[in-house]
Amino acid sequence: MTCTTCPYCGVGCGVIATPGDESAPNRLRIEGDPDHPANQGRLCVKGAALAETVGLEGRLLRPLMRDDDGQAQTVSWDRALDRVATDMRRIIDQHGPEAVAFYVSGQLLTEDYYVVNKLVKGWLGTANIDTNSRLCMSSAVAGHKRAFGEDLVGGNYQDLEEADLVVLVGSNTAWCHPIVYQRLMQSRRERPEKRIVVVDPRRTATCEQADMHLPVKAGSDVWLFNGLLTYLEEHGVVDTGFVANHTGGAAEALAVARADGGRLEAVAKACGVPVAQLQAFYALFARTRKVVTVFSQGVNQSSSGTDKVNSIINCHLFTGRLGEPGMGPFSITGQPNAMGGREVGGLANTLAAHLELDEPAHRQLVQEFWGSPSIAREPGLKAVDLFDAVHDGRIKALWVMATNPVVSLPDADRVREALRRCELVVVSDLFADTDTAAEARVVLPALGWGEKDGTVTNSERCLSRQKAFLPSPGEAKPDWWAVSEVARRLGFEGFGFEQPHQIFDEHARLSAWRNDDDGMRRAFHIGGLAGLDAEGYDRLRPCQWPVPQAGEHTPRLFQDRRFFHGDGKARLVPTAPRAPVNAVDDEFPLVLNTGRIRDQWHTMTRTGRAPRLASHLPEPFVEMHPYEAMLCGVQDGALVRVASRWGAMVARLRCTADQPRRTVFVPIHWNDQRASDARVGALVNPVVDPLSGEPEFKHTPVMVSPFPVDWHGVVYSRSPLQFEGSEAPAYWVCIQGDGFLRYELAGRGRLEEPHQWSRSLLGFEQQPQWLEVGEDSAGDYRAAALAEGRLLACAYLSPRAELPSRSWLNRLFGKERVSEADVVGLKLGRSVDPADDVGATVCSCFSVGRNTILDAIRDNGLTSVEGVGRCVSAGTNCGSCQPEIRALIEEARLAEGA
Amino acid sequence: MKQERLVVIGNGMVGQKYLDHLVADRLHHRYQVTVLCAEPRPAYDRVHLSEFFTGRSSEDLSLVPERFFERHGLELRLSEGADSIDLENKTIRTAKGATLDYDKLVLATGSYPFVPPVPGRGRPSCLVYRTIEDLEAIMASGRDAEVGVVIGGGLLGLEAAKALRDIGLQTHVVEFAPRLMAVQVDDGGGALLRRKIEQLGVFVHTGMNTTEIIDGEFYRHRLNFTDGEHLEADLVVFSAGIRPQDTLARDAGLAVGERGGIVIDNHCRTSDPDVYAIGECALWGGRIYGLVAPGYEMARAAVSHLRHRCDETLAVPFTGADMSTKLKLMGVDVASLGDAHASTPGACCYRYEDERKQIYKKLVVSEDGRRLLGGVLVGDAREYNTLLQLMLNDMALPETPEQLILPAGQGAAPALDVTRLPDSATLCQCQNVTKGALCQAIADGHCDLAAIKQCTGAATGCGSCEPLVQTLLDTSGVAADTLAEVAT
Repeated sequence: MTCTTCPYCGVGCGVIATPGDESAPNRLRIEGDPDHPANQGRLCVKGAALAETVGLEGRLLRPLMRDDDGQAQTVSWDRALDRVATDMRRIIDQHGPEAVAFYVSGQLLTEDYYVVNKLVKGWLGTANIDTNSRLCMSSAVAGHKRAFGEDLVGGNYQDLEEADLVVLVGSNTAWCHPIVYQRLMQSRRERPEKRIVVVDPRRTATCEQADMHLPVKAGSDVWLFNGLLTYLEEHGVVDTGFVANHTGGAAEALAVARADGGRLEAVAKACGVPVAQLQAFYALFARTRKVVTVFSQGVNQSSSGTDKVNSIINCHLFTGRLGEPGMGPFSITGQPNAMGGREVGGLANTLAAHLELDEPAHRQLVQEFWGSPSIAREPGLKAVDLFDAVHDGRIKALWVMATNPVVSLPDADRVREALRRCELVVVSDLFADTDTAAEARVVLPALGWGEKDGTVTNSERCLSRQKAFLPSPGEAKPDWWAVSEVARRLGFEGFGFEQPHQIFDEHARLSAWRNDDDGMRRAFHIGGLAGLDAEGYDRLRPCQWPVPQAGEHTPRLFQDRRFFHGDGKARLVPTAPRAPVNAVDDEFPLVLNTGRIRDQWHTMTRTGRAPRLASHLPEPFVEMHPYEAMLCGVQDGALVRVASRWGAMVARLRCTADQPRRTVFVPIHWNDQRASDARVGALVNPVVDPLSGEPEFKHTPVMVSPFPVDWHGVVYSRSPLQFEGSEAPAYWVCIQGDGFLRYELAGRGRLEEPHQWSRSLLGFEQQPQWLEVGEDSAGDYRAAALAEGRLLACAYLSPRAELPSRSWLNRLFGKERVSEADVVGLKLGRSVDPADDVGATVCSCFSVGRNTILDAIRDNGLTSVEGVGRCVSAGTNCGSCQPEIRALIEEARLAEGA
Repeated sequence: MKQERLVVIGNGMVGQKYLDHLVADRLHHRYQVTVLCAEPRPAYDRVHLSEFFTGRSSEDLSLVPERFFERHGLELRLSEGADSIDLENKTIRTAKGATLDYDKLVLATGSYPFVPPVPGRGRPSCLVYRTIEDLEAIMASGRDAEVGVVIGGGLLGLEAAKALRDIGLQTHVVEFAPRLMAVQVDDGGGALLRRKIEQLGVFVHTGMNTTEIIDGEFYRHRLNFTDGEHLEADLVVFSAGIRPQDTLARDAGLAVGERGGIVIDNHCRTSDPDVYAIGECALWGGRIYGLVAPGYEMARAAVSHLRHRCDETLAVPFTGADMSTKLKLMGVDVASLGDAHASTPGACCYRYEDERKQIYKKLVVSEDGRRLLGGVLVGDAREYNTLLQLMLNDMALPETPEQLILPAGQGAAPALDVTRLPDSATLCQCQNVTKGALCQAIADGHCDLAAIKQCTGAATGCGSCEPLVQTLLDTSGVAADTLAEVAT
């Protein structure tokens, strides 16, 4: 039994992992850690499905090198590392250190992050290291620094529970931070007078139980909060003493806010919400002292992201609402270690231990501590610029760790092209088949969750351990080891780490180093954790920094009302509102918004392998208002092409009135390994916030048009299928099932020989049992292959989109032996028992389908989520699907007597 | 013998119902029938008009069976209304200049939306909500609009608001009265209805009197109200009630009411015995019926009279209609029965309200507490049919009438005892099917719901009578079994 931390979102839940016993060595048991402060025993569906993602199928177990023809071969670590070091040395000698760059990730542990940052900034002497955290919360970092003088999240999750009003801005908390959402909802059940407001253009699952949803126009947040600041001033809601003694800049901030936010009607127009609703929100905020404003990607991923952050913080500073229980601005981060990366300086514009690159004294401090030959003198290139520099040849060597920029960066096709032009691309990952690893010269096998060992810091400054409880597979190694090995080969001292606790110790000592000196004071101080030996490091329990002395930790910052600008004061920052950079026009009339879905994580390289997680929303989709769909001439459920000036993709249309007019939403997850053409990154405009460099993922002008196809198909196979170039269907998606793969297909032109096509695709030239119903009068083709009663494969093709129930086929593929009735059903293309169609999965934990839930609601007259849980178990484990169950109850209620 | 000529002006829901009855009674063989229809398409379901926005096409909404006119030899002239009627010479001049002779004439011209005389009402994108063409105009205008407002918070106004919300506009409803659906619901029900409608994202402004519509500062229009308040919007839809479309009749010299409406008798005859008027253009007993069910009753009465023209004592007359109604507005159940406002002298009320579940129910009973006079149901209208039957059939109420509206398990009364209903009780209001007709169908061997629906048409409209029909089926089923047992 091992206490560790979940590797997904920034909530950072504690997990107890119990590897199976001798009888079932592969049966890893995953539970929430009841003693972890973040989750207190709860887990969401992604965390609960962790055991399904630790298998070795598809794992990269040895280093790979590709020659000029793209042929990959397995090599020894020595050879791979020699190659990396030699090429890097040559490039530095020829072009200088600025020709080398690293692109790392919030998936890295703090120790990996620390070592790579040390190498780049202290020894290579460049700051060309950036991280995918740039894509999710760098605007929060920049905003925090402007307001507080340091990147600080003052409060904690408990504040959300204690608050009387929680404002969720640009955050689909219910899906993206499920455990925080559940804690919030639980606290509201205990105190029904608590109010929850959601500010989001979309009506998301998070809005289901909110008291108010402000469906603001994309990018209008600064108008909203400037309006609030003005309203607070006009109504005398100000903490005069606090503003006078502990802040600066209030007058300037107010003057700018008044310019646009002075008239409610003008704000209402800018935000696209009615005056009355705006007034109601402002009044609620004004009269509630204990208010927490939670903000996430909807705020950060914007060309004015930093201003948005400050416009929120301004309102809290103006009213003195921070530093006490139940109040404060609260940035909730996307990744498990986004904050750890910030602590070690993983961003191109920071140094280490919350010290600044552009402060000579800070540079000197770090260089002295490290004893390094050099120190980066100016900020390096931020993610989008960094790949630009790769594209135009300024950067010639790039090492990517634990992230998939070919999928996740804006203008992602150009990113791929950049990698293809780059002399040396090194990728450290768990898998060789990611879209990014496919472009690498050298691919290094990294350790995954459960194998690697180190620390992470979650959104509430809680530092906890991620531990190894599985053996390192093959020759996979920790990233810090690979980096240290390259450093050694480059002839650098200071990388003699043998264990992660040694790295952590150095990191902790640096945080304390001269922390009391004038001008050097910083909140990030974990000196109390320095000096831990391997055993002490293993025993480290979750704690919230600062930890200046052993045993002391800090649940809440700013209680002493001291901030970290030179004068010890906080700053209100003038924030003049700016519209998103690229406006819609006649050609690209819709705003593309991107985001996460409930059961997938980032680019699906891990969660895509868990059958349980693939079932909720199996296909890439685009959401659109039904009326907008009508105007675009596209049909609900059909395939559509979404295109911007930068790229295009194909996905299935889901019409929903939850999506505002003139906008579309596309999830960020699908990659080229899982779908024919569904990387939304290719469409996203490469526009960034001028201060934070965070891309504007939430606002790209696009158009939507039909993607006409002539046939539809679903194919099940026990092994992966290869679609040969020209034979590949126009559309395909590969969905992981339990012991099988399901392919949703659609094609153009007539399939001349469906019989031959499916046999060669499935590789069954001589099959033991091949059930086949050739094209019937409706043009449908049905075939299934069995061996000793077990289904091996099936193929259903039709000119119409009506194909057999997937939940039924999924079940048949789970059977060791299909029955006579099943065989009849396979030939008919539908179950002989209609009850077999449980519908699309709603509850992933217990695999409960939509139809099952609706039947239960109808048959038992259920009116509550709890009732549904008692009846069919749905929603009783992680609870992530409860908003959807609530919607189904409503749907059933509406259908009754309709 | 020369076939007589029958002309029907108007092919709306009621006009079509008239033709349905005509054909069912085989009267179309006796007359040469011409139908004038000012709209470009034959009758469609105006009640479900807003579904046009959620993807139902005009074909889906059509009320005319395929090839109805050809099959029965009726002449339909689309986009051709009537311009004038010459009662003396029995001729009609059509909008396209043709002259038609008639022997019998039916006016089913319906109504038009009333647009209050607010200055600025004729500005572009100030529209009404009545026909598919109106909807198309709303959709076209809504393409680039952000905010829409409906003036009028009645039944149709809320339907129009649903349409605006369906096309993704920020939607407001402005109502002059202090509550929504002022005619059908009381203050308590109106307050709850408002809350529910607001939760659905429609913003409600009651007690507002629009004085003018002028250029907006932020959106296309600005509505000024008497109290100095204002509201801006890109699109304005008037839904302030209907007015009978009686100009044609008035110009021809037929008797019309003081406030409009073609005066008719119990056989739907106008002041000219060869001219009938049915539906929303007709004034019976001094009132206009703005619901479709009474219009259908008039259509039936008019056909019945034509059929029994030789002995009109055999004709089924129109003797007024109950204005009780149950509907779903944006998914919210609302029902209003009889004397919903308890204006009958001595009337007493029972009220039940659950703010958490958002349910409001009111019963209005007679002074002695024995008879149901009316009621209001908001949020949950499942008792509607029971209450309607109790009221229409003047049945005695239980000792404690509040049982009728209390939640089940809280001392609620058992469901209505259908066996106590008289055979003449109309169980299906939409299709006008009586208990007697249903019992006959069951006795004829139609022993399940589907068969009953097929045979009688009951429960095929709004469906609210389905539970009653099922109960009737269940109880008679028991009876049949018992009979069978006795027989063996």
